[in-house]
Amino acid sequence: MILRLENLLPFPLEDQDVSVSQVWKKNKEFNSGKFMRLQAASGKGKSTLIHIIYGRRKDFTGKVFFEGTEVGNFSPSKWAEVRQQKFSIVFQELMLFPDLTGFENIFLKLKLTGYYEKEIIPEMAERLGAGRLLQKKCGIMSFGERQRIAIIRALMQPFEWLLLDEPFSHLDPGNSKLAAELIAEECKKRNAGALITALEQDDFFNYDETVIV
Amino acid sequence: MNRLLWKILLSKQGKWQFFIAGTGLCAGLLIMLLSVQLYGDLQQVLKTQQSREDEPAYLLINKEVSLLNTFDKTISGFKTEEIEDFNKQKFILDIGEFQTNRFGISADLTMQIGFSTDLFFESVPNEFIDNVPDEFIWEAEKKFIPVIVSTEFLNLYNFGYAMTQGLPQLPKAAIQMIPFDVTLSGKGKKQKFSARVVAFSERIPSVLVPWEFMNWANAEFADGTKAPSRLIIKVSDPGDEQLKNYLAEKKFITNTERMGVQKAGAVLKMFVTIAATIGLLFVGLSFVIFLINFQLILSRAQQEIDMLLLLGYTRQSISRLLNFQFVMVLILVAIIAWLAHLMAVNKVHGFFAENGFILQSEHLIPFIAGISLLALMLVVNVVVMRFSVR
Repeated sequence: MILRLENLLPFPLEDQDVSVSQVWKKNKEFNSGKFMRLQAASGKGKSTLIHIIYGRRKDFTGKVFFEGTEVGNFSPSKWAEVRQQKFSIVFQELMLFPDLTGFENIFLKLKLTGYYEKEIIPEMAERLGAGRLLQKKCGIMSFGERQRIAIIRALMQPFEWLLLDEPFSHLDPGNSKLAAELIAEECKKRNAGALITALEQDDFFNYDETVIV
Repeated sequence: MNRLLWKILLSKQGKWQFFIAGTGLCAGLLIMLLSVQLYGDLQQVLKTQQSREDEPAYLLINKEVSLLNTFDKTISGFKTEEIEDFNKQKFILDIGEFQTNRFGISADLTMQIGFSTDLFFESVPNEFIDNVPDEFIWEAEKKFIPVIVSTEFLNLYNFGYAMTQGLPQLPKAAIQMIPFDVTLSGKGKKQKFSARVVAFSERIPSVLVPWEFMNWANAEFADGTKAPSRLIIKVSDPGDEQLKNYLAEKKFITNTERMGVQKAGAVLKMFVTIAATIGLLFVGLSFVIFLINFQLILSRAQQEIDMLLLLGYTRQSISRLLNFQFVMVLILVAIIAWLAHLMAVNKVHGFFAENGFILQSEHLIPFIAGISLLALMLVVNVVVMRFSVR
């Protein structure tokens, strides 16, 4: 699915100089299946861009197109469909339910999409060294532990784009590498692209392009 | 149902509100069910009660007795127009006039019970009398007057007069065997007749003689005519509102005893209706508490709902969960209320049976009423939820 942004500008950035950005107040296309690195310093709107694409924020001017269709008029049920079929996401703040265990948080998504058998959950958790986290409530996990649960949850559905908002911020390089491998594998299975935000240069993925936000 | 959604959302609800609302709903439903049940059962009893009595019913009508009648005797009579107007009313099946004697009558019972008295006679057409034997017919050449007397008069004599005066009590059969002499007088003539009680009437409290005899005797011993002072009417429903209003408006008086059962029934029904209203009020208020509780869940769980929507859950799936919970509550409440209802009906019927009323239970109507009420609440809840999960 081609993702096209036209002349976007979020309200909070209205009084800022966005001339160096390749996204804000520009026209930008992301071609299907590509791995795109969204790079900028803090406060330049990386997360905001992710949220705009995912339909979470409406406080912007300009337009977003999915495969040529403007998303501004999507109904809530259309957005639900998009979030079950087209886009998956790992929020920077993760959005896990603190009263549910790791397994339950992941299963909440799997139950909705039925994309995998539920045996996949311990398998993936083991690969990320998070097997023992499955029975633990997310409220009492460290941020890094929760990050791995959120990543696995994001893989429990079909998608054409995977949105990752600083997904490895609290993981050590070893664990980051394991997670990146799993993510790349899963994207390849689906022929999906990924938008990954980062503060600075990294080599977790074979990026097709780095976009300055 | 998604157990995890349940866990996320329903941990947010006020358990006390939920419990109180459930109890209130249950109590309200029970009161309402009982009311509907008793209303139907009473209706049944009143119907059979009514049909057991004369069906259709006969009522005696006269004008109110006031000081005016005391001085001007014509006022208490019914005018021809009044009778015609009465007869035109659609609740009247038939109407009969009472004819009274306008001559002197004295009965001599000295031989029988040492008793001599002036008497009065009245006549109504035979079809209005409940008990007409073959002998009740006037044949001038026989000089015999058949008489029908009210059972009440006999009772009055037997249990009032005879007891206190030391006279013998008389069974019906004995009275019917005793002939007595009657002397009619008027227009300067006097004539002796033989008379005998041939039957007793439950319906008409009077001393009745055949219509033809009264015609003949009035012509023979009196001049002119006299308006009837009493009427007997045949109606299908003595409790009919229109009838009551008509009588009140015209200042007509009736023997109201039969209407009494209807009146008691009406009072009971009124109480039952009030109870049903209270029950409905209970149900309504509890329902509102439920709705408020759901609103409370939704506002407390706003963040969770937002997260669920971001995961791709739909508003419908969330409101469906709350509706599902409500359905569960309704089913539980309905079962408890119904069981309590059956037990209570049993008790109430026992109470009525002790007082001589056998109530028959028809459970279908309260059942349908209960189900309809629950269905209505469910629909309202679904609609409210649709607007609330935003």
